[in-house]
Amino acid sequence: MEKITITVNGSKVSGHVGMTILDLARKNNIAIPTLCYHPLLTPSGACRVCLVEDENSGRLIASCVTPIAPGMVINTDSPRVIEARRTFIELMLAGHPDSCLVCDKGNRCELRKLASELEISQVRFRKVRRFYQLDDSNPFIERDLTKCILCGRCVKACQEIQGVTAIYFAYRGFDLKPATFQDRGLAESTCVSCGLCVSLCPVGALSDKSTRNLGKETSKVNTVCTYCGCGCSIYLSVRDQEILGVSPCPENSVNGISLCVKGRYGFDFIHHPDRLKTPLIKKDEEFVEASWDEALGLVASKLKSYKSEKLAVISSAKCTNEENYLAQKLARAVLGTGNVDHCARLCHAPSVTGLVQSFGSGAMTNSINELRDAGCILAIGTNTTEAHPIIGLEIKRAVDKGAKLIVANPREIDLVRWAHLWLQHRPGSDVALLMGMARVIVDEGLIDQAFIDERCENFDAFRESLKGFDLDFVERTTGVLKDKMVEAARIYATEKPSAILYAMGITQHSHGTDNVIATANLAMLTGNVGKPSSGVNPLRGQNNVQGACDMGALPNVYPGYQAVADGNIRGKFEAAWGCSLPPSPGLTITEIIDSAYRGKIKAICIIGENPLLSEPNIAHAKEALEKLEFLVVQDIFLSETAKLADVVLPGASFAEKDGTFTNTERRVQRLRKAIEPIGDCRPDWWITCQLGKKMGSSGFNFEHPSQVMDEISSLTPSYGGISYQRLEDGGLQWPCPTPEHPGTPILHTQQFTRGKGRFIPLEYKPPMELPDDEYPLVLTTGRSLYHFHTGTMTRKVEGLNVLKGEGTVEVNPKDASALGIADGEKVKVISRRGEVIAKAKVTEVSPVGVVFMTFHFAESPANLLTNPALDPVAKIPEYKVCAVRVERV
Amino acid sequence: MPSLDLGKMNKILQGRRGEEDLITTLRRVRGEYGHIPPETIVLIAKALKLAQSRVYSVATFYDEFRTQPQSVVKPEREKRIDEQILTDDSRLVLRSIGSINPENIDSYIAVGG
Repeated sequence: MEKITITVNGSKVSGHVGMTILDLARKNNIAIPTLCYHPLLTPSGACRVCLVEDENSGRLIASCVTPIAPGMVINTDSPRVIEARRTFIELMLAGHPDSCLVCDKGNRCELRKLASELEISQVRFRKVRRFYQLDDSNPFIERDLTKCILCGRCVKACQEIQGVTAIYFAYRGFDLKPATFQDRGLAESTCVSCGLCVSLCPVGALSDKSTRNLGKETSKVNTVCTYCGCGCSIYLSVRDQEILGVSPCPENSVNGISLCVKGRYGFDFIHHPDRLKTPLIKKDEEFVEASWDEALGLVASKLKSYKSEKLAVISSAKCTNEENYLAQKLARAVLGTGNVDHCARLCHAPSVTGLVQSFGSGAMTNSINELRDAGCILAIGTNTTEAHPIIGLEIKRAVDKGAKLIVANPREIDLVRWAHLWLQHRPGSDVALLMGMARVIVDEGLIDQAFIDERCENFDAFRESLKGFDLDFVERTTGVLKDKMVEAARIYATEKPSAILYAMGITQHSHGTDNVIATANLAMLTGNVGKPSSGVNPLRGQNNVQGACDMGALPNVYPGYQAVADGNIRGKFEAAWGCSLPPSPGLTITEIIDSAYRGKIKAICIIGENPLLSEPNIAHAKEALEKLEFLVVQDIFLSETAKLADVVLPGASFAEKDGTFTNTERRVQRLRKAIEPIGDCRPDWWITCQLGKKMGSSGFNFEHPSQVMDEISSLTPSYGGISYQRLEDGGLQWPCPTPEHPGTPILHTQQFTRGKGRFIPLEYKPPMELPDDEYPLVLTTGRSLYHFHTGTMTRKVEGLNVLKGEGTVEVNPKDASALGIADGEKVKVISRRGEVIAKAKVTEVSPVGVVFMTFHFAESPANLLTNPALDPVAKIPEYKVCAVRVERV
Repeated sequence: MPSLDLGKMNKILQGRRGEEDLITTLRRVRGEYGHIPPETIVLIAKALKLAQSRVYSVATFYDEFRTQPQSVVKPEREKRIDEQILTDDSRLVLRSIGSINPENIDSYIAVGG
């Protein structure tokens, strides 16, 4: 890169083409004050505070937008510069209210700080006040535009980083201000309440309501967000055993300076008065407080009284790796049962069963931050901006950089606005769509023959299976016009590197494994595996669903996906744990519930899960749990499931314990304890260890989760090089087999985990339940940005309930009109399994013939309606498609 | 208030794809409706793949565009018409120059207001 030397304040300094004067000054530790500038935003030179003097021309120029040029002679603090800066700051102060004494920004105010540095003691200009109504419509953010200095950071952050553009400069001249569409309150705008604008506001115009007037923290603890699988790195601000607030940790993190609304503001549940604070034992149908000794003693004695095949453990994707490891160890080594599973069964089991068959490894092949450099992104079955907001930002960033985004989704989700192409296929027709695209790619000679020849196997059989997917059939099946599908196939095959992203729109089907395999086939066909910014990338729903799978909280594998059925592997674990282990795989979560219903399973330990909202056909699940002789639930709240328990053990929240989480890109990161457990609750790892010891096992003598990780790494090849000491420097992506290994951002670079990538022929299978005269509509379910899973935590956050306080039924206007339903009217949704009442939301987001509900709300539990029909391999229920009818109430 | 005929928007938005078409689209909307109704901003934003706030920003920046219709409602009672005058000593004063009596007119149109 061409070097350029200029003179700054009498010294020669060198930079390169493209650097601004400000860049060069900061690189050389020369202070130039700024207000509108932020290193992650495009500079605008709006505030003029960064003015410097160009001696050659005699001009005062904004250093943040002026590129360096050979021979420049710059003064950053000449009398002219200082006078000009003083003038600009004074002009800002003239339009700024004198409310510093009561402004929460206090000494963090950049305007006040600059005024002080420039020794401005009084403003020479007449005060010109702008009066705006305070906008406190948003439960988390307050906007007081009387304090706004029009720097534009909020506008740029919302546009350039968040990609939302809820606000933009509106009006002109004296009336200019950042405004929403129609100048509404934030809560009535498209604002997603991420809080990024607040964190970048240099003055007190934008403020966090939750932290206002709380003062300063005494410590900031770096840890990991407890919500989705993005695995955002955060700081918890702590004082006197209280979490005051949350801020992003930009260093070595997937999220940089961004967080979503749940990540930044969704933490009131930690100190919520409803937190469980002591063990509870049910006596005469009432819960009675108990000591840990009494509760654990009861649980141990009850569990001992059952034969191993009568027992099951349901672990949790919200618990740490160490806790999941201990849970499956307790099940297998102490209870003697292989009946251990967790909610990955209900979300991404097909990612494991499908990708293991195709690639040998069931996880995201690439890393989140590679997405920004993709040439094409095919986002199928993922409402990324709602369910994985930080990954949604990466997609928008990629589009900004020129990537072509193909969105395949029956609903007009937010990402469609960013898409080059939207394939609105029918729910459940994914295999037809993906195989149709594969057919086009093969027929048009767009395949990567060298990659297929060198890296893959079984291509001929796969090509033969494409004959069943002529484009007329695909068009009829998917509802996507042939031309669109052809265009999508061509873009995916030619705009390399191409990345496939998918989530539960692909997996939660009775043919979920086939769907996953179809994505893998497509990627191999075009050589889009093992290379940066490409691959097949399942987006995991919960923050540690990847880790819970990695830790063997699955009935068929030990930690590291080592097969239970393999005698050598079993022998290794028997030797390490000093016991004999069940020789065959146990039951999956859906089979456990079914067995409980049939009376075969008598006792279940549930750790941090809420199957009474997350299982399909909830009525059946409730009956099953009610039939149990003994149910013990570990949770932080008395969830719908915990209310049915015989014993409830109060767990510690993520803020109250140490451990590790593994995010969706296989990154193992440290969770750090910020406060002591609330009341008498205990971390789940401690509870499991005590239970193991009470039941006479010697394999649970751990004093700290780091010791558990040492045992994990000794038995799990992909975690072999991971230790707490190494994680102090940031996360590590598995496989990380040795202490020297740097981790693996991209899988399958040289060869697939299974050796050769396997093409697998597929045929189209329709959903198990299709609309008919009695149930003429398709119900599909999903997630909201404002809530998480069954709402155990987010429903305890008042602000999130303000933004989305109830579940709705999305109905297309044409269907609504035919049914005589008005927007906001209460309707009854009825399936073969139950009925739910909720308000109708009449919107074109849902296509004709399809209604949509989220599953977060106990008051309108969508899973009363969903179909428990299972994928035969992954045993995942078909949450995404069932037949319903909608009636006015 | 009569509902807006948004059917005209289909023709206006035909073939318009991005931000480069924004100003011309707003001009055509103004030509059709006399102002830029908020309902049209929603449609423009969707068709041009722009944020609604961005369209609103441009619609409120130029004098040519207004997001509210000009008033065509007769005042309920006599309305005084004032003129703003800048005096020699730089004071802004209002001077009454007439009035509108609703009894004497069929309609009232505010110009530039």
